[in-house]
Amino acid sequence: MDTRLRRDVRFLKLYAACSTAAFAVLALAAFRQPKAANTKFEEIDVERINVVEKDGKLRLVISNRERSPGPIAYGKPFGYAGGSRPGMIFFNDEGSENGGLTFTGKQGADGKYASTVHMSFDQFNEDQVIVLQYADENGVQRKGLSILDRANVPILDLVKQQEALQKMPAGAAKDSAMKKFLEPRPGEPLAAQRLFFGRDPSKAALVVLSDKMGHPRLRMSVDSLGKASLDFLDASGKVMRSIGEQP
Amino acid sequence: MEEQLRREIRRLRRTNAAAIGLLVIVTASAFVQARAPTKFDEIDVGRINVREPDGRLRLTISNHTRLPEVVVGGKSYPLRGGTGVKSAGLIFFNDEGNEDGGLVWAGSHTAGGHEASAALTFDQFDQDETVSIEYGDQNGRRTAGISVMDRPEEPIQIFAESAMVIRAMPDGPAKDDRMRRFRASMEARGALPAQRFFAGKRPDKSSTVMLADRKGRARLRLSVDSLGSARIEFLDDSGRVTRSLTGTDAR
Repeated sequence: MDTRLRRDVRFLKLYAACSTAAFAVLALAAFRQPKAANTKFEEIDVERINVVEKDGKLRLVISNRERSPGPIAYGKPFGYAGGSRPGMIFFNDEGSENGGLTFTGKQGADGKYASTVHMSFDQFNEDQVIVLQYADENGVQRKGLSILDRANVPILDLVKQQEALQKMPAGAAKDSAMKKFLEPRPGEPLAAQRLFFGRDPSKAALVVLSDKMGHPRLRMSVDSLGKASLDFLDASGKVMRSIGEQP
Repeated sequence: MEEQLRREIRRLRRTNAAAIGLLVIVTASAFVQARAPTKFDEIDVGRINVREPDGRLRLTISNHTRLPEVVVGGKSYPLRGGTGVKSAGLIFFNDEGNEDGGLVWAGSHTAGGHEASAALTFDQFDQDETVSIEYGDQNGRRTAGISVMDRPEEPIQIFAESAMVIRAMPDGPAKDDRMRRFRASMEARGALPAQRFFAGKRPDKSSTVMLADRKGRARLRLSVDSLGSARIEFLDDSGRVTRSLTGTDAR
C-alpha cells in the first residue's frame, strides 16, 4: 500500500516536472514567434495596416472606411472623427499627416451617385497643396490636377481658432470674428489655387494659372462646344486679351 | 514516512494549482493579444486584401499572379492583362466593392527589347479611368504624362459583357466583324471615351499640353518638338491647324 502510494507520488512528481517544462518551452516559443525577421503569408485579409516607425509613430495607414483615421498632428487626433477616408493616409517624420490616397463612391436609393478618388500631398503642418482628383456628383464632374498655395499658419492653430469661433454666441461679434478669420493674412489668403489642369463641371478642358490671391490670370480652354481660346485676365476676372482660333 | 508523503502530495497540489493558474493567464492573454493590432517587423505576402467589416473588398495590394479580376457591377470579369503586361500593385474599390482605380507597375525584357509601364488611375463611377498619370515604354518609344478622359454615362458592365462574348469567339473574319459592329454601335450612341486633356511627353519626343473637344479631337496645343521649336496651335475639328503662334511671330 505504502509503496504503491510512494510510486504514485514519484510518478506525479515526474509528470508535474515534465508538463511544467513543456509548458514553459511552449509559452516562450509563443512569445518569441513575432520576433521572426520575416513573416510569410500567401494572402491575408485585414481591415487596417499601420506602418509604424520603431518608436511607434505612424508613417502610413492603409485601411477600410470604418477604421480610417481622422486628421492627426504630432500623433494626436484633431478636427473631425475617423471613418470617412478609406485608402491610404501618409504621415511625416513627426507623426503628422502629410498626404493620402482615398477612394469612395456609391449610389443612393434614389439612384443618385457620388464618387471621389483623390490623391494629395500636404504642405508641412498644413493642408493639401498638390491634388490629383476625380470628383463626381451624379454626373457633374471636376477632375484633374490642382496646385495650391497655403498660408504659413499651422493647421492646428487654424483648427483651434475655428473651434473657438464656433463656441462664440451667435451675433455681430461672432460674424465679424468669422469674417476676420476667413480674410487673407497680410498678403496671403488661407488657400489659393495657383494651377489647374483638367476638366471642369461645365465640360471645358482647361489650363488655368492664377495669381497668389487665387485669381485666374491666364486660361487656356476648349469649351463644351469645342471653342478654343487663350485668355489673359485681370484680377477681377475680366478678359484683357483673348487669342482665338482666328487671328 | 506517512508525514513526508503527505507533505509531498501537498506540494504537488500547490504546484499543480499554480501551473493551472499560469496556464489560464497565458491563454487569456494570448486571446486578448489577438484583439489588439498584431505586430510584425516585416511581412512577406503574395496579396493583402483590405476589407470592410461585411467582407467587401476596399483595396488589394498584390503581386502579378494574384492581381484580382476586374470587378464591375458586383461581378468579376477575367479581362485584365489582355496585352500580356504583367502588372502588380494596388487596385482600389469603391463603397459598393466595384473597382475605381489603381496604382500598378510592370517592366521586363522581351525578345525584341523591353516593355515597361507604371500608372496611377482614377475611374469614373461605374466606368473606366478618367484621370491618370501614366508612363508607357515599348522598346524606347515612351509616353509619360497626365491625362483626363471623358467617359460615357452608361455602366461599363455593358462593355464588359460584350467584350467577354467577343473574346470567347475564335479568331477570324466573324470575330473581326463582330468587333467592328460593337465599336460602331458604341460610337453611334456616343459611348466612346474622349481624351480631353494631356500634359506630358510623346513618343515623337515632343513635350506638349493638349486640350481637346468632347469628341477627343485636339483643338488647342502647346508644344516644344524634338528640335526645340515651340508653338501654340489652334486646330479645327478635322485636325487642320488654323492658327499657329511661335516665338518669331511679329506682334
